[in-house]
Amino acid sequence: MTDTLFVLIEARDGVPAESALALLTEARRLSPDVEAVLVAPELGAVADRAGAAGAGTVHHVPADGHAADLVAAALADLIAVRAPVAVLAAASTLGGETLARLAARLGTGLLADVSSVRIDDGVITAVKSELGGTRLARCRVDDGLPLLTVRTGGLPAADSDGAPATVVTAPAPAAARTTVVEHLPATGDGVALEDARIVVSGGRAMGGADGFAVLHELAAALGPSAAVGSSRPAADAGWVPVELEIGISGKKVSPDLYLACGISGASQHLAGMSGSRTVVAINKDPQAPIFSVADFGVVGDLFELVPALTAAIRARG
Amino acid sequence: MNIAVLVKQVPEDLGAVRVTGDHTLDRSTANPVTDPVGRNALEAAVQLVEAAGGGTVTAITLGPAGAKATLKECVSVGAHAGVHLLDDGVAGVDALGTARLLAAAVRRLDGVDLVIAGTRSFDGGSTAVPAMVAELLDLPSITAVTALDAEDGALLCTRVIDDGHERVRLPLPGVVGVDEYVNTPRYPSVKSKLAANKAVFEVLTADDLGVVPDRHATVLEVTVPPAREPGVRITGDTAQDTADKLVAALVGAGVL
Repeated sequence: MTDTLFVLIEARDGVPAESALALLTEARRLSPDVEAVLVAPELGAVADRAGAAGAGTVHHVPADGHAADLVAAALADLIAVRAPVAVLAAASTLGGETLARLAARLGTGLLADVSSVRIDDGVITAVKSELGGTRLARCRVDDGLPLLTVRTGGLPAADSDGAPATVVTAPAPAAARTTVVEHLPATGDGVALEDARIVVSGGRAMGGADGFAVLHELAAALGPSAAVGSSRPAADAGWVPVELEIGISGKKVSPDLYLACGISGASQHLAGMSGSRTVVAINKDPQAPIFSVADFGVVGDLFELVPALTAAIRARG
Repeated sequence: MNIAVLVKQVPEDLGAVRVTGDHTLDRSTANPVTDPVGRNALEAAVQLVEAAGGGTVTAITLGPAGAKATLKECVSVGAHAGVHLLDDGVAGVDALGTARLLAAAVRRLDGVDLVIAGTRSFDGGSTAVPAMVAELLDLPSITAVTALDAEDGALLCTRVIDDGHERVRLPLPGVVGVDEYVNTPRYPSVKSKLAANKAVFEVLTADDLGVVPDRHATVLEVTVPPAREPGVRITGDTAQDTADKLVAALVGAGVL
């Protein structure tokens, strides 16, 4: 009996997303038989990188991978042939939409936005946070093929020592109905917020777009795995692009280190970062709720403390 | 343009929701309010119909008797009609079951060009329902939409993805999931509120829709996340001294 796991790979211009690679390595930990599915015009470096991260096979469907309906149809065709025991995707916009469509298509269960996955005696269970992170629920798909979207931010970094994956080209199911007119890349710090190992996040106290400059400098000092995020009020005010919002209505991150600067810690924000391993809070208000979830708290003026922190990080070299 | 808007009630305070013995959520102790992002979905629909110079906006909600208040609220800010899916038998239904009921309700409406919902409801946290509805209706979909413009027979949508934004053309009919950034919902006037109070809504059960409620996943256990240990306050003589101590503490904890 083979326990084949399917992992959906997102890639741009032939380069797989870090979140996809981390998910491949996590899948490899769960089962020795991991097959990646790539729906994209070009294969690019995906076979090498996906193989290195743990995939034995890459099923390449040469088609426009931006359209969730097309990707779901491609997955359904491959599932019919390969009969995997579960399908995993990153809990991204496209991953979430694709597996939701697949669940509706196959009439099976979707466990969305899970933070961890386990297989015990062939039974797959996963933990997801409910009600804005106030509850953790361990869930199981009853019958049918389990589909899971996984928050990849909390996963260990992807392996990079596996052999290149075998590539199998599969036919594209149909033309996409939607068309991408333009891609506007994220500005700034390089790493996607969900993939960042360190998140430097700012809130209302940043006072404006200019205030975020000190956070960008700190993120730059912390290196290429650090990214800047924000709370809802700062994104609402237009100080940062809306895709940097962390919280119940924004992105969910679980980095190794979360630096909350001038963020009061409303439950809506905590829901987006409660999976962070270590939390540092810098706030003027010693009563701010963010201190109740912080491992290290500093009461003071962030416009003095953050540049000092940047200097201290740079001094370490 | 005829638009169906999927909107629901959510607990105003998520902490007030109780977990029952069989691991379902009891929302009865929490004050229900209209999902904030549902108000954005309705506003988007009303703006599109206004710009098109004609058409109807129909709000569809699945929920207990009290959810009628949300339909009234929708009518007070521009919806023309409301449909209430009211059935005790579907309490605790999962995302796919919800999507089946909503898709069946949309199918009953004539000539729907567009379905709009919030991408991520305040309480559910999953983005699955709009995409599931789209798949069940065999329509293209775009979610995480932060801006939309009408074109001839299509919508130009800006959506958030991991590595930035995309502008995507969605041919109609189609399904859109919007974020709260898409617009600022209007407020009702006293007059429109009074008029909405008199509105009568179609009430449908799962049986009326020909949908058999089922579940595809089981919650095995629900726990409260462990509280974090009380944190350490870092203080120093100067900002630099404090920062140096913080870095030392992070290095000591193996974080840096």
